[in-house]
Amino acid sequence: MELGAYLAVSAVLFVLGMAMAAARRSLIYVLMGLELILNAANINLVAFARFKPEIGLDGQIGAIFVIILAAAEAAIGLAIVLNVYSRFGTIRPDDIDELRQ
Amino acid sequence: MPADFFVLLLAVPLLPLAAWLLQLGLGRRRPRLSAGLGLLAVTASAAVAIWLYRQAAAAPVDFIWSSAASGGMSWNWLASSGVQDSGLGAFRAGLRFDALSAPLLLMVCAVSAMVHLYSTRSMRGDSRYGAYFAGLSLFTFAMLAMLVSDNLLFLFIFWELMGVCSWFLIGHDSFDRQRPRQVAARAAVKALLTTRVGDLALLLGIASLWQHFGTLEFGQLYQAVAEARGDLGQWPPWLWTTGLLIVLGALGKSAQFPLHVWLPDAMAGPTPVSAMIHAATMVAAGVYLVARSFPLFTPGVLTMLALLGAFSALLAALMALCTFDLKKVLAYSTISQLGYMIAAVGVGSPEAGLFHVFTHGMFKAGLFLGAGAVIHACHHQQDLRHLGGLRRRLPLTAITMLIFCLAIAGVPWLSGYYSKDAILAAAVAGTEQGGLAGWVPPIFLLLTAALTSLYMFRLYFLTFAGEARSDHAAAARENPMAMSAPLAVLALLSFGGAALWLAPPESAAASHGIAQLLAVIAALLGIAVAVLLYLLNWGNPARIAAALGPFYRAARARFGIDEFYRAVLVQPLRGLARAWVRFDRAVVDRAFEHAGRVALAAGQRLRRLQTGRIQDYLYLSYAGMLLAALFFLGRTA
Repeated sequence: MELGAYLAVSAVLFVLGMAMAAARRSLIYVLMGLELILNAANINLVAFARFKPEIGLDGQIGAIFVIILAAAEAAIGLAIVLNVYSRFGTIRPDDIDELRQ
Repeated sequence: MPADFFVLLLAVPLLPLAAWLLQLGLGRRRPRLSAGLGLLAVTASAAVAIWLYRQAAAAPVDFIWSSAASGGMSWNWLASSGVQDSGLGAFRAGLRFDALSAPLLLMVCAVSAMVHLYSTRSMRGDSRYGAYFAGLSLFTFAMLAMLVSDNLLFLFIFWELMGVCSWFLIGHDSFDRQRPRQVAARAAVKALLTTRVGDLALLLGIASLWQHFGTLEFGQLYQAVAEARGDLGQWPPWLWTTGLLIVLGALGKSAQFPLHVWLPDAMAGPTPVSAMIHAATMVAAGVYLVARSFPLFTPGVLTMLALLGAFSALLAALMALCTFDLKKVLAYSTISQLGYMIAAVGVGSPEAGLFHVFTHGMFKAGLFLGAGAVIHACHHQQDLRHLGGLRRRLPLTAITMLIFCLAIAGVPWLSGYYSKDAILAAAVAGTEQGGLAGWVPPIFLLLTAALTSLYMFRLYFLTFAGEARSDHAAAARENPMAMSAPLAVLALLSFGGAALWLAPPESAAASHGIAQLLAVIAALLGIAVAVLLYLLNWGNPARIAAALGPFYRAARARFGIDEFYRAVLVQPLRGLARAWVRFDRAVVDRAFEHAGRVALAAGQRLRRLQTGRIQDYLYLSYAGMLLAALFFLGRTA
């Protein structure tokens, strides 16, 4: 398969993640959207590492770093969501607007 | 001199400073302990001063122990590469001790200790007892530190510190939470501002000396002036202005005409503070400054000093004669006596001037503490017209006050006699130069001598002789020991204190006898008139006052000098300040308010962007990403 196909899948995944993070009406889905964005990036990294041998292992290592990062992000994100729920009684992002003056 | 010596010299001012630091923390919670600490520290200083004095007494009269010269106890101050590069070298500060400062240190410590002891009792019940003693400690520290400084800059620093302390202590009663006294606040500000005029001049004078000579150490300054005179064959012309500026500084601090107006008002402070200011600290600093700067003064400056001092002496003596407030009579007498000292420096005898500072410190502190005892015993009655007959009710105060009055009048064999005599001898010797400037000082000073004994005994007889003229005076009772003991000690010092002076000024042999005779005649004449008028009631003072008419009224009104300043300086300045306030409100404030309003309005519009919803922010960041992407695409294309 061509590199372009991988990049296409990655781009679709990225846009889907962006849309999800911005438009879903639950913080859990917003977090899932963020995961999609990160994994889109992972596909890119691994694909480039596979098709451009001169990069060496850098791509794979980058992907592993992103996975670690995503795990940490998910843990913190879910903790935030839990706290938000106990504080506001909801996890609809539209209802949480206390930052407004 | 060994370094230990200078350690002890440094301890004299540092002990009260240490007490002050402790008092800062203790003052409010443990007022009695704070008072005890102050008394202890200043007594310890006095003990060290006595030891130092004994060293000085054993040395030849013209000794100068300088810590810089002996290689110890001097410091580079504000040493920076910039100063060294300018070729002037770092500023060195050290200690200096000589036959002039030794007795003065002793006097300041003794008077301060007596004032402390007296205050422990007389200030009892004051709501700010602890703070009061902290102020006294700092005041004492500043004066002692000034006396041991070996350069003009440090002298100036402690000089200013004294100004602050005087503000604090004169205004003591205005800080009272329950019953603040506005008079005290106004008097304190007046004292601070009036002396500030002189202080500014002094600072300019010091700057000018630094600019021309690159040093402020006394010994080096004297040498530099001598060299400059040698090179030019005459006085450097700029030294005239510089001398004038220094003199102006001393006039402010020593309350001499035309900057004398603050001192009578400063009576609003507690009486022991007046004793401190008038005897040991503050006013003595001015005379000390001109005496130390004496070699820097050109003949013109000295003549002016002599004339101003003599004029102030006479002017204040006249005002004292027409005053009925017990403390204010003493205040004018201080101005008058300081006039003597300043004039002494002017006629070429700084030693005689400091000699009078030394003796005057003791009996004037006694006079103020005695007056305080009278006022304390008579429930704050201090109008001479409402006192009287107190010799039976306050026997100890009456006897000690009599000694102080005799001393200040210059009656033979009391301390004031010797110092006044030295000044008059110097003044009479000055007439050899002839001219008006030569004759005015001795004549004015002799007149003042007669007036001094007249107004002092007027005060004495009106207070202690005759019958009580008010209920308070009739009910007075002798004060406790803590207030009487200092009077006794100071009376003793007023008797024999003159013998403690180390550097007897060379008596101008020819004029000495005449001066002595004239001084004694003047003193006795004044006392005789006072006895006739106020003890035997032979004449009616009120009728004499009426006969003098406008002159008497002018003296009562302080010769209109306060009013003149009010009209010429205070009112225009107030007007200017008011105009400036109006400009400030109308233009400056308005501009800032407008700027604020614009920012506020813009903020109100922009706040709509801030919805507080994270997803809206996310959209915004997408927009940002898009812009960034477009930007980079554009660059690669």
